[in-house]
Amino acid sequence: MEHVNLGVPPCSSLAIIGPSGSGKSVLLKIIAGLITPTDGTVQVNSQKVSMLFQKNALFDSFTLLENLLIPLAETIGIRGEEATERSMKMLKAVGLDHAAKLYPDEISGGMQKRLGIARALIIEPEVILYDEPTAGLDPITSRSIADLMIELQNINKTTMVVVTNDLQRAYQVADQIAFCSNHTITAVGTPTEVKNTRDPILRKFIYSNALGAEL
Amino acid sequence: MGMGIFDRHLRTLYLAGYLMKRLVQQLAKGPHRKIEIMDQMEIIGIGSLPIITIATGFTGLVMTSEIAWHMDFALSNVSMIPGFTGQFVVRELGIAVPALLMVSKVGASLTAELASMRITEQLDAFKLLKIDVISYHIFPRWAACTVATVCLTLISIAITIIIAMLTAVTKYHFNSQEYFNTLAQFINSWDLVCAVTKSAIFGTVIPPIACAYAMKCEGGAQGVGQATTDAVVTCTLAVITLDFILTAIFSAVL
Amino acid sequence: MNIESKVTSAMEGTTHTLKAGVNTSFAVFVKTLEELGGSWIFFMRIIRTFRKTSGYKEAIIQQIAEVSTRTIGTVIFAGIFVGAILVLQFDVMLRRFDAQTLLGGLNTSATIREIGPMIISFLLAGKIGAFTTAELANMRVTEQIDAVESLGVSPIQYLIIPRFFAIVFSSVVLLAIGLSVSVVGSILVAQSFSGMNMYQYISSIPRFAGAWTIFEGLVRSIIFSTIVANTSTYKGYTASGGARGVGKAVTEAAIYINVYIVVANFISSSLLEWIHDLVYWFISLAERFFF
Repeated sequence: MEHVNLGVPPCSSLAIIGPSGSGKSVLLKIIAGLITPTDGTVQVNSQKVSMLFQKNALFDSFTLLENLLIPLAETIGIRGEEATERSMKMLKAVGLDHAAKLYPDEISGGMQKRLGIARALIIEPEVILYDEPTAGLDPITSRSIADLMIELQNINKTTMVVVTNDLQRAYQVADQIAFCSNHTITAVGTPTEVKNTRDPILRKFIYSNALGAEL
Repeated sequence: MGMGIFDRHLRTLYLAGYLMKRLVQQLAKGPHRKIEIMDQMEIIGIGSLPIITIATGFTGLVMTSEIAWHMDFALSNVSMIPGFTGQFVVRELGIAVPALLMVSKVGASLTAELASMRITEQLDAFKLLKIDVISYHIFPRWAACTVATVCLTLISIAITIIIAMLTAVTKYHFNSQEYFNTLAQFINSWDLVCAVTKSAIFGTVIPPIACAYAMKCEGGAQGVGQATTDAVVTCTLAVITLDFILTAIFSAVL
Repeated sequence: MNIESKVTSAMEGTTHTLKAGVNTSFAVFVKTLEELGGSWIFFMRIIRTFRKTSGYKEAIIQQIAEVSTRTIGTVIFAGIFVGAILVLQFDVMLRRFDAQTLLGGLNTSATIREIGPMIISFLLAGKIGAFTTAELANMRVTEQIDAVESLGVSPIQYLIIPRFFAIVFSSVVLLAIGLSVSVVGSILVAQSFSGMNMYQYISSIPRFAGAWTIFEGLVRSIIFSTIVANTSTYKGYTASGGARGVGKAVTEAAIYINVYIVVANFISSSLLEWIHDLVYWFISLAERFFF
């Protein structure tokens, strides 16, 4: 990736859209600190950054409940009864409390996604990064996941960066949208600005995109 | 075969060395995670018990009748059988065979587990949650593997000696009391120290090598398969090489 | 009160461990039976298909080349060390019984008949076995095997049979090379570490290791190689479940090959001993008849 100059105000959400292979996920991982940039700096004004991975990266040898207990215990240091209480509360918030004792490979794709979100949020982060949160989900589930993302942002006052190819969801959750093409950011604007853009490459992406077709 | 391949293995061994250093440091100061170690002891130790017992049993049956036959044939002197067999078992056979089985059971599963976690980005998730994979995941398994290998080796030695005794009693008409007396004359506590040391070293090197290959794997399902294969081969070679070095040291010292 | 509760928890702990041990053992037992059955059926399928069809020569030769070049270095390395370890061990032990002159014979016999094939086969289980399982398992979980089938080609013919026979052949040859290296290496190690003269060492060999020893070594090699070939292709072919499935298949292949080798070692030992006695009984009978 080259020449990326991006700023995200606190408590707002940025969606990064763009063709596959343009480097969106790489950018997200650089922000997360998982990949070190060869040049330039990443400044995140917060110690608590959380991420929802593309394939959820759930701990598959642990139950749903344990998936939440582990971050509580190891990252924040909360164990025992209080940890269980908080975890069950979070599971309830994402609608998974009935499946607490199940394993990740025993639940549906949508439920896995919810668990991923729950785990990202259990440590009460200030910044959340979402990598394709609605990829592979049916439209109804996509919408409800996006609703959940907005709801939780409002409650916890977090900053969101969402990488997605789902334009409708991008419009739904984002305050700003960045267009990533050819390993660099070529345009940034509000959803309305993006919809009315004059940039030909961006227009082509938006209006030939089957998920966001608004002809 | 080219230098390129060796390069990859050498880098991984370097990582294994680093992991070993971190693990020993954690043993000295860091969180000891006793509960997790106990869990892993059950999985690794008890889990390997059936395999070790079966394999040891069969190997014992073969080896002891082999050696006994050699003694009988070569020297027509059967009185040496308990001593010779016992010594061979305690010093070499009862240690190398369990170790090699642990390589395939524990080494392979550690690599496979960690490699899958890597390619499903679980390791990235840990990193982001500021959870140290070495401390949380690898340390308990390493500690459990070392202790389990020692215990299983001792059990293995016991089983083989009992089988050796039964073979001697049935085939060569030894008296079991007689057998143990002769045995005690030839095996001393130093032999047991040798056995414990060797097995501890074998058990200790398997997890770092296995996890190093897992952490360096790439490429989805194929990466997992490749990492597991490489780990098993390297661990086997490591055990054989270390066995030689330790044998040389112990023989020279004794 | 304190002592009572400590004893109780100790007893509970022991019971728990015993239960865990029994449960695991039973589960392992059942699983092993499943494995054996599946492996055997797979083996029969390979043999049947091989006998009914033809045109494998090129594919098998190509696989042999691949397998051998990959493995030869490791086998030589292992052979030297295995020989060296045994020489050192036997030397120390024979010294105690003042029977050092037997070192050459004992070592060579033990290496070729028993320990050499077993340890080197453990190595081949990893280098060839695990590799083949990984290869086939990856093909299976990425649906490449299904793709081959949909093109009207039998995966058994196209993928499995060349690998199977190539592995059996190469493993036997590699084992032979490994054992030879072991024996030669032992001579050198005996000279440098135990100060034994080369001729002294070699002189005791004929008494212990003759044609029968080599025959035994060969039979064991063939049996172990077949185990490696069958188990590795079977576990790879029947893998399932994505990347984790591949890992699981390779792990299980490594474990099962090792265990099968040890069991087969015992069975072949008994069988060979029985055949040996039979053959020599016939020979002594013949001698008495004709003299």
